[in-house]
Amino acid sequence: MEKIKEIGRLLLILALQVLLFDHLHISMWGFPMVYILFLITLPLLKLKWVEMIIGFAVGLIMDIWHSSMGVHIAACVAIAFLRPILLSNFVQEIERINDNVSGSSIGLVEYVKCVVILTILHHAIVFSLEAWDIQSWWIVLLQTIISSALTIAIILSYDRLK
Amino acid sequence: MKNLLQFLARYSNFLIFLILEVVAFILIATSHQYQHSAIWSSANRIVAGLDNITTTVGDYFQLKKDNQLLIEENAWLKNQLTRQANQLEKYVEIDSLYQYSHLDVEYIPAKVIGLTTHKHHNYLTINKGQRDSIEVDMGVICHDGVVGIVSAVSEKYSLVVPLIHTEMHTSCRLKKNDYIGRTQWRGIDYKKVELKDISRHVDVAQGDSVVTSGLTSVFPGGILVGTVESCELTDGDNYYHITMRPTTDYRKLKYVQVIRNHVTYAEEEP
Repeated sequence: MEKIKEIGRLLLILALQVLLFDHLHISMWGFPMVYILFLITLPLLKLKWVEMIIGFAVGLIMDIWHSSMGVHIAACVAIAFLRPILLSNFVQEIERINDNVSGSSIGLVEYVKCVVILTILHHAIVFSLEAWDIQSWWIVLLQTIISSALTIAIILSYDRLK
Repeated sequence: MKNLLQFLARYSNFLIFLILEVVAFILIATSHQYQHSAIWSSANRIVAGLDNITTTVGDYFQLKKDNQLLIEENAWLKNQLTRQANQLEKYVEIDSLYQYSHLDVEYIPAKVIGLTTHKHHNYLTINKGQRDSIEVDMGVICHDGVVGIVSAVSEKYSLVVPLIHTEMHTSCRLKKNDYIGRTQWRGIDYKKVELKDISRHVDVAQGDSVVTSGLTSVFPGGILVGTVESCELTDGDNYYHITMRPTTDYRKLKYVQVIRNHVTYAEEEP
């Protein structure tokens, strides 16, 4: 039951990303990638490699959609790898939490820290791999800052509204 | 052996992480080739199908119909022109290669259903594919000028690499004096494309028209590519730094025409 709910959530978030957020971008700088909300709020799994495989699958779907094979996969696998490490650093007795990771389940400050770090990391990887060019580093930097700000705002306001 | 197994067990998560990242990087490296596979891109049936629905929702009912009629008529007219030119060829002596390459060309109308302009590698998806006899490496134009080249084809949809893709180069020439150059896009602004390989002795000015060279079989010669916006020459440079504005407005692109060239005159550009 729990799994079906998660898959439903994933489909909903992916649909929102490709139908709504993909069309919301501000010129070429602000490009919110809200679909990582799914990977950030996923309940903590016993087997960490399963989390990475899920990250791989989500990245693959986004890559097919954007004709950018591998870019989103690399970023999603990276945040799926880093999330448990971050959470176990920020939160004591992490094993207690069986729920989805959210502001109310792990504490708002910890959740905000987690979201900010993972979003910036994910966006930085996506934009730099997409550019594939050292010369355009300042474009990548600006894109990362503006897009991360948008994504973080959307993810945190979702957490508050829920 | 025991130590090795212990090591693997201890760092198994990190190893899986590394393996998955390596797979991702291999995928990135292979996708930087010019040709794409249709299944792993937005020319894929499911993705393009959904994109198709979302664009259809955005179209006003009547407007869409009118546009479709117009584009169909346009393509028909262009086909008529080619036919006329074919007939004329029997009576008129050919005095220019550019004119020659215009012959035996057919235009297939298509609608843009997916489009990005904000990335380094931008693509557009169109609603015509294999069954409409579209093939990889065909040129794509619109009413205003050159759009790009087909890079992947599925049953019903195709993926097009536009001029605003950092690895896309198109052979073109200055309309007024026929000097050949090539386009190069550096990212950021979809309204600024560079024109390379124009040497310093050439007379270039702001506002000059740039058209396709006709040296490849992808595009017939003489189709508008852009207009020169600025040209600079620093001391010691052998080539101009030319910025041009593409005549195609990618943001507003709705309908395009795919060029089907029935005769190949020259080796195609990679």
